[in-house]
Amino acid sequence: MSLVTAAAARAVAAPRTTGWEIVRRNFTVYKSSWLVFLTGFLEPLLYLFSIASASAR
Amino acid sequence: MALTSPIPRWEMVARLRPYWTAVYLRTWKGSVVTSFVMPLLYVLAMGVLLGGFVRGGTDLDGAPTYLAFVAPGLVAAQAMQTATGETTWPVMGNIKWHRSYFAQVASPLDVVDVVAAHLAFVVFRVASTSAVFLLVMAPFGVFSSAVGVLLAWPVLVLVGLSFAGVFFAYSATIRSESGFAVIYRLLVIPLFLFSGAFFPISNLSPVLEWVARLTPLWHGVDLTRMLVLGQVQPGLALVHLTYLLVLSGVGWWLAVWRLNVRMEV
Repeated sequence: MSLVTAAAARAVAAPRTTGWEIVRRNFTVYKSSWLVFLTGFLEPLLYLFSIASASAR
Repeated sequence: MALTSPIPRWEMVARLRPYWTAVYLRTWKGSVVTSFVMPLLYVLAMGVLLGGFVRGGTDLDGAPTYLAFVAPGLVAAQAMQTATGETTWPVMGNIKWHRSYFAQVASPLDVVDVVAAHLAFVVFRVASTSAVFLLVMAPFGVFSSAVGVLLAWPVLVLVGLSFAGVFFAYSATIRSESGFAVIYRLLVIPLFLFSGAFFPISNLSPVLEWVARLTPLWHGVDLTRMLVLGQVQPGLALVHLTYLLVLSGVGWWLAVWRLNVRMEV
């Protein structure tokens, strides 16, 4: 029993993760929101395009 | 489902006034900066500072200075943004997160009343932010007459309403809030940038100019500009007004339809 407790305590204190689990988790969560990221790139381009149009004449 | 009650519809809608008053009293701090301070910063940054670099005599749709050109554009864009802000996340919250709409229709109120009360709140928000914006700009000397400004005020409310109905319908349809980021980037920001608020749409290519002419914000911007600069072209003004009124009516109808569908699920 004490062995199990000790193992559990170790697992909690020093979980064997490399950080990639978090990256994979985030990828799983956000892969359905790809359009939000894609349109995020569009926004500064639109601003630039509007400034270009404004100073066209 | 409301029975055919002898109580007039407007009175049913008015029953939601305490709710919306409480909502505003509890949340006004969250919107006070974006509603009242940001417009002033835009006027200072775009109109006064950037406008100082725009040469006089440039074609600015009849405006004497860039400040006079951009100010009515900004106030119309502000009306759009207030209306879209009030009918996106708040509508989804009322359906999905705190479900207040379900509580409201569990009473004798119908979906029609719920939509009308929410849109009335949007009208209040747009009317108050536009009024403050117009008052703040008055000392800059960009308005030609007080009558024009007084006429522009209801026009700005109409601009807000024309967006509010359509966005309400969209918000009542989608299931995830990530849909808001997409329409903000693909619709609201392009409208803000390319509907003649910052530069005359004649600067755009002929095709894009026509696209801009079809957008509701351009109609709102142009009508507001005509009124505050005192250069009203009656025929075109009538076209703008008709467009905004029709869109408001259609949007309102769409909002009731979509919320009815959503609430049945």
